[in-house]
Amino acid sequence: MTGARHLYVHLPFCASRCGYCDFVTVVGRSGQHAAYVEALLAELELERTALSPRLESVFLGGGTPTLTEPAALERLLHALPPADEVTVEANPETVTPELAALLRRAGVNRVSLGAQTFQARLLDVLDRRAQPEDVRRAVRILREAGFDNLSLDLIYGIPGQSPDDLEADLREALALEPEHLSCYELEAKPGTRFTHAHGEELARQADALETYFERVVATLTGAGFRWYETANFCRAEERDLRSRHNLAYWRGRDYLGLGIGAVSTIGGSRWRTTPRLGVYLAALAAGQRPPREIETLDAPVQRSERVLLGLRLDEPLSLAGLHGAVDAEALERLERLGLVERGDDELALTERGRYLGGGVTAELLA
Amino acid sequence: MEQPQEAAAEAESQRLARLRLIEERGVVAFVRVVDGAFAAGEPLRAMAQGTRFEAEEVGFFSPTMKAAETLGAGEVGYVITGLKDVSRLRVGDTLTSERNPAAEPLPGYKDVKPMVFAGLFPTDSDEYPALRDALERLKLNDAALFYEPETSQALGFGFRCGFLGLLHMEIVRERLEREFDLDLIVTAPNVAYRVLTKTGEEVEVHNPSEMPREIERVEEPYIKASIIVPKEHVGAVMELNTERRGRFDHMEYLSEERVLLVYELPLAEIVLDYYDQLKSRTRGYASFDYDVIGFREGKLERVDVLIAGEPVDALSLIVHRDGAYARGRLLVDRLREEIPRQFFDVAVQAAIGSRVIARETIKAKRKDVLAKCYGGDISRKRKLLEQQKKGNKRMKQVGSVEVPQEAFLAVLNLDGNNKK
Repeated sequence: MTGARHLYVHLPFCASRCGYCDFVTVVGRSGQHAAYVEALLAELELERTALSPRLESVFLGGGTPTLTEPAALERLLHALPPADEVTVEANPETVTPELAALLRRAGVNRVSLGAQTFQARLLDVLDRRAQPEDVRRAVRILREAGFDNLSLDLIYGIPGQSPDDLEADLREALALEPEHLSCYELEAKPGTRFTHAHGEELARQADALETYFERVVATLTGAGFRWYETANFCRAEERDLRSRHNLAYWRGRDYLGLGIGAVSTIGGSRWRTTPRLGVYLAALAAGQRPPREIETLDAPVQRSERVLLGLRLDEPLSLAGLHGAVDAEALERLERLGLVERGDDELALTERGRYLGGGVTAELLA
Repeated sequence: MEQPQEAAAEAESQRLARLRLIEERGVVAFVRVVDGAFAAGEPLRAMAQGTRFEAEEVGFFSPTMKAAETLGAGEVGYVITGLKDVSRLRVGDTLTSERNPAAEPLPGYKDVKPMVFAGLFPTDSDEYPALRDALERLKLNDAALFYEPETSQALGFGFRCGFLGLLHMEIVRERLEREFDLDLIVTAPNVAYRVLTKTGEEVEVHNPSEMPREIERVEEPYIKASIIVPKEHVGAVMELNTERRGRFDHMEYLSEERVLLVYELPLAEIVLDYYDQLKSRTRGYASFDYDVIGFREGKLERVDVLIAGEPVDALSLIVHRDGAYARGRLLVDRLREEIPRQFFDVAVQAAIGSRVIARETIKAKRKDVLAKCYGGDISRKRKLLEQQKKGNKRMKQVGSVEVPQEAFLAVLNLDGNNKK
């Protein structure tokens, strides 16, 4: 085993919790940032053998990584192994010239900004703290600090978001000329506080929401972006601006995750580290691996995942070694319906197939 | 091994009062001798059925079965027939000696024919053999029960069963569920139709999907309904009967408060929810009794349901012309709600012959994606898709459309209809 070439580091701290968010986050506890970073580095040492000596990507996600106390964040970034692509997620309101300079100094070369929307009232619905102006300011600061690879996250399908609101968001995002855009449909999970508060509004909007995905794709591809993954777009230029880290997930590569709730997949085994901060800190302070849930991925499961992840991309999926994973009958049917195209031992979704990618993939899986 | 069970049918009794099947001795007939005498060993004939057999034993009940040499006029007793199949003797038939036969059977015997039909399907298709065995057993002591295998696109393998009436249907269903521990889907009942085809052929139709498309004339069974109700509810009952194509026959005041209403109604109009309606519109006071009075011509139409242009046998209906549009509309609306959106537009139509009377379109899905999928949630996404795939497998394929079983049940299931 050569080791994983992709490293994810989870920084869970947030100033407040957003209603729609289902990531592992910790609100407050600023006193624990330094201890948490020490624990991360201890965990890295324990897992070092699982990593390749040469990393392609490092991704700091959260939570709000940029809320981490600056000294602790800087220590972490300097201690992490170098990689070709180092991305940090940032909330717009946390971006200052000092932070930007810190990130640059520490070798970060890509920042993913959680813009979500440019409408103040919709930011409010999402419980976001940033104001529309914060996003513009953050982009300006990062550009001035020399970042030439910025990504914006947008959320669509927000309760109360009209088609005009969506167009305005896309326009505003494009005006900031990011290299990369991630556009997610809001997931309102049944039983959550968010759905309780906004479910009725979402049900009322259901018909209009149906069209938002198509609108997003049409607008962004019309502006010269490449729709390279279900929810991800990058400027089409000579430089390959796709997220290398996320491509690794979609191509089924091994990755190591550090931090609470982080997931790793290496050599047919997947594990999730405990999401409990106290348990995590205590274990690593004692020099132990924190508790984890382990899932063994047998060969058929690995093949299924290759299909379901690979079909998210705009490049054809090679079927070499995957034949057992695809339902031949379903494939034929979907081909007839113009949702799938079969090439020479490879498979791709048509444009319409990509809008229906979830259902199409479910049918394709054997 | 098995306790003998009494026949459920309670028709009028003449000589043959009851039948009982004892496994090792065959069918035992309970009789009252009207004329002459029976002796053991005598060849006998059932006059209506024509069944011939030899009386293996005759005797009395005192109170258990006690053999005797003969049974004389006026005596009540039993005849052990040695027959293995109960359907060869019918309650109410007249037994006579082969050597010295009676000229005429005793009056009053009616050959009971099933009038109400419904499909019985096991909820779990693996239970089909169990259902078949259970029906075979029931049939042993319920000669009036009729069944034949039926295959439905929607519900798989089951049986089309014929019953004497609604009560009989309820009893059979209850017995299958309680005594045989089966979980059943019972389709909405329909009646027997007599059809004269354009080619001059006469057929009896027990299942709407068998109704010929080229029809000269259709007859449906009618009943005479006697409804006793407090006088303040007479209006409500009349209204209900009018809705159900009833023809008023007469009305009698049984007392100052209670009224007997006699109506003639098509049996088809009462098989579904008539009784429930009657009860609810009269605050539970109405009592209802009916007799089948024969077949009459009706303006009946076969309504077919087409999903994406494919006719769905299981959903065909026979309805009166005046109600055809409303029923077609209802059916189509219900299906549109129940059938999930597909990758393409799906037309749901109700049609009489080639004439479409109702249509809805289930719009194609425009998006169906799991928006986010990163390292942390691959397992969850995989499980979601596996779940979705499993859900798809439970659906029935109608042409290229996936229809959930629930959609058929919403339209077919007796319980489902009653609840609405």
